[in-house]
Order: sequence, then structure tokens, then C-alpha cells
Amino acid sequence: MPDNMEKLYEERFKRYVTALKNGKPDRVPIRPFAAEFTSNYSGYTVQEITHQYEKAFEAVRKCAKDFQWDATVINMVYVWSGLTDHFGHVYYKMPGIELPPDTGFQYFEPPTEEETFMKEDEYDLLIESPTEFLANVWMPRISSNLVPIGQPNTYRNNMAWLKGGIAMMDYFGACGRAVEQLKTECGTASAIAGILKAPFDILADKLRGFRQVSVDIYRQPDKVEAACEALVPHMLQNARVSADPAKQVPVGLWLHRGTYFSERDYKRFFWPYLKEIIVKLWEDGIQTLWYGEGTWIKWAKYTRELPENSIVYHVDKDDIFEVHEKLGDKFCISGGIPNDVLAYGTPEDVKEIAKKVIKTVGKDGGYIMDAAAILQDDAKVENVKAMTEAVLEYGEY
Amino acid sequence: MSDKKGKGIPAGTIIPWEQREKEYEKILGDKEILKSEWEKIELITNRFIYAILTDF
Repeated sequence: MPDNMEKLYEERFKRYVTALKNGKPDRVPIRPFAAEFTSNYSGYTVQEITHQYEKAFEAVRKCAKDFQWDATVINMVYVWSGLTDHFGHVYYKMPGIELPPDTGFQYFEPPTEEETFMKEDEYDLLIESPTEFLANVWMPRISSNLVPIGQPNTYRNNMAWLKGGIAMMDYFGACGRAVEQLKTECGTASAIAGILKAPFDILADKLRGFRQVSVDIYRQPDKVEAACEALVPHMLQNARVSADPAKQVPVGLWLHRGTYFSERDYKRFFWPYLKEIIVKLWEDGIQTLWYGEGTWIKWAKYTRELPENSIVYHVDKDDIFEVHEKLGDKFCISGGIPNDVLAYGTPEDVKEIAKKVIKTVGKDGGYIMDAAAILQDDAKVENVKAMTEAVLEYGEY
Repeated sequence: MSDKKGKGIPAGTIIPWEQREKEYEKILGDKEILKSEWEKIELITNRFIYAILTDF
């Protein structure tokens, strides 16, 4: 790495981690999470960056370099369709296969009880041993290649296990190299490491489906609670093993369904299990990026129960100024630049909002510039550029 | 709260070392060598299952 690139990286990394800990760096860092935007900008189709991960990494690097990002994610088109194709995933529709080559991949949740990947009477199996349930029951249902226990074995079954494992090792190995390339070629830090999901989100997203689990919380609430409890050690372990070994950048927590609850149900089914995991990660020195999709500030009094700096609070649909008022003393805040403005506004609109956020939310540090949600194919290049210009013009301390 | 539960296969494992250890007829050498390599691949394999669940 050239000396100037190494120096640039060190400056940016220090800026980023200082803000993560709610501190005041030399200026507000910029850390966009960019998905299909990167293919548009780099001249690739969405199919290319979804199916050929080296192109996805390259597209991110081009953006990081051209937009001077302090930190970003090596590939926000996170589902590599090469892996899902080999394993035989049934719940995705992929660009270039079922979808046009310029459309982002889509996840399809089972719409009916009959189509769910975990049946309503299978809670006890999950609770008894989550890993065995996933391997023996769930995975054969979410793969077109696997056969369930007790059914005649097939060549495709054996090879799907093998190919799935090899594909994952291949991809994760490449991700490690991509982190290094982002650093040495762009001077940009890898923003997060690893993954965490709330136990209830696992039930809703991948096992029962939201429609079905919404019925379960009334018909068999004790089972839902016990399932969330049983998933805690496994979600914790998965986050720990995938987190940054140096414990400097946070583990990504993608929050989905907790925003829809009543307070009574949030307190019962969502919060206690998630809180336990975040607190235990923080006891290990691992910070969590709270990426709450939708509106989450209504749960601020619960979020405040978390230890200081244990999370970075990312703002999607909430009013970022309200978030700052309610949580800014305890946690770093990121995001909050509306994606509709990035898609339909002008660079002047973006800079006006960004300036206000920097001067208010970021006035004492502890703010990281980012869009409210992941940058998809509708963000305008000139507006993404305007976010960088805003931190350079208004973000210095 | 999670400490009260967690029956079945423990987090981070597939076939726990304690189970595998009993299957050897004898171990004439250093048991810890076997254990550390066993647990290393256990961790990666367990991550495969939970990565499919959480990442893919």
C-alpha cells in the first residue's frame, strides 16, 4: 500500500471509529451502504454484481474511491446468487433468472401456512434443539436439492450440502480479500463485520413467516417466547464468530418486525431476547450497529436500557432530530438522509438536509453521514456525490 | 434467561467434542490436538448453517 494511501486509511479509520464511540473526530465521517447503486454507477448489470461477487466488490471500490467514502460495506448486494443457486434456495427470485437483469433480488416469504418452512406444530422441535431442527427440517424445505431425514437419499442432496459449504468458504474467503483491497486501493474502511438478527425476526423472516407468527403470538404465545429464548445462544454465537476480531467495527443488526408490535408484545416477544444478546456482545467488547428498518424511536425508553456506546443507532424512517434528542447522549447516530430525496431531489436539497443534520445531530460528534436506507438503483449519482460534498463543506470540527 | 434453555446441540457445534470423544476406542496421543481441530471445523460448519439462516 502506498504511504499516502496508508495515511489516508488511518485518518479515515480513526475518524470512523471515533464517531462510532460517540466521540468527536476531525470531521463527520461518511459511510454509505450501497447496493444496486454501485452497479448503475460502475456500468454493470444488477445480475452481474449479484452473481459475480468480484464485480460487486469492484463496483463498491469504484464508488468508495470516487465518492471519497471513509467507510462502507464491501458488498451490500449481500446474497451471492452463485451460492443460492448451488444450494438450491427456493425463497429468492434473482436478477437474470426469474427477474430482469437490472432488478434487485427479491425475498419471498411463504404466504400460507401450508407453504411455511416451519409448521405451526413444530415449535417444540425448534425449542428442543435449534441446530438440529434447522439442519434436518428447515434446510431441506428451503432447498430444492435437499431431501428430508427419512426420505431416500439423492445425488443432488449430497452434492448440494457439499457445494453449499464450498461456495460459502469461497465467498467468505473472497470477502476477506475484498476488505483488504478496499483498504489498500481506496483507503476506505470496512464498516461492519458479521451479522446479528433478533430471535423474533428469525421466526418471522425465515421460519414461520410474519403472517403466521402474528397469529402464533395469540394462539401459542408461550411457544413463541420459548423459541425466541432457544435462539438467543445461537444468534449470540453466530454474531460473535462473525464479528471483527479486533472489535473495532460493529456487528450488523438488521431489524425488521419489532416496529410493528404493540408495547405489550414488544416487551414480551422482541425486546428481552434482543437486549440479552446486545448486552452480552458488549460485555465481550463487540459493538452492534442497530439498523432498524422503519420507525423504532417509539421504543427509545427500552433502547436506553442498553449500555452506553453498546450500539450505533442507524436512522431510517424516524425523525433524526428526535432520535438525537432521545438517544444522542448515549449512542452514536448514523443515517437519516432520506432515500426519496436522494432519488428524486436535487443536490441542493441533499446538501441542505445534510447540513442541518451535521449542524444539529453531529454538532458534538457521534454522527456518521449515510442515507436512511441502503442505496439502491434509484439514487442519483449527483445526489450521492452531494452527501460527500456536504461532509467536506460543513462537517469539519 | 438463555442459560436455562439451550438443550440439544450447543451453540457453535454440530457434533460436540464430548460426544465424539466417546466414540474413539482409544486415544494414545494428545487428546487436546484432536479436540482443538475437531472444534475448529465444528465452528465453521455451525457458521454455515446459521449463515444460511441469517445471511442468505
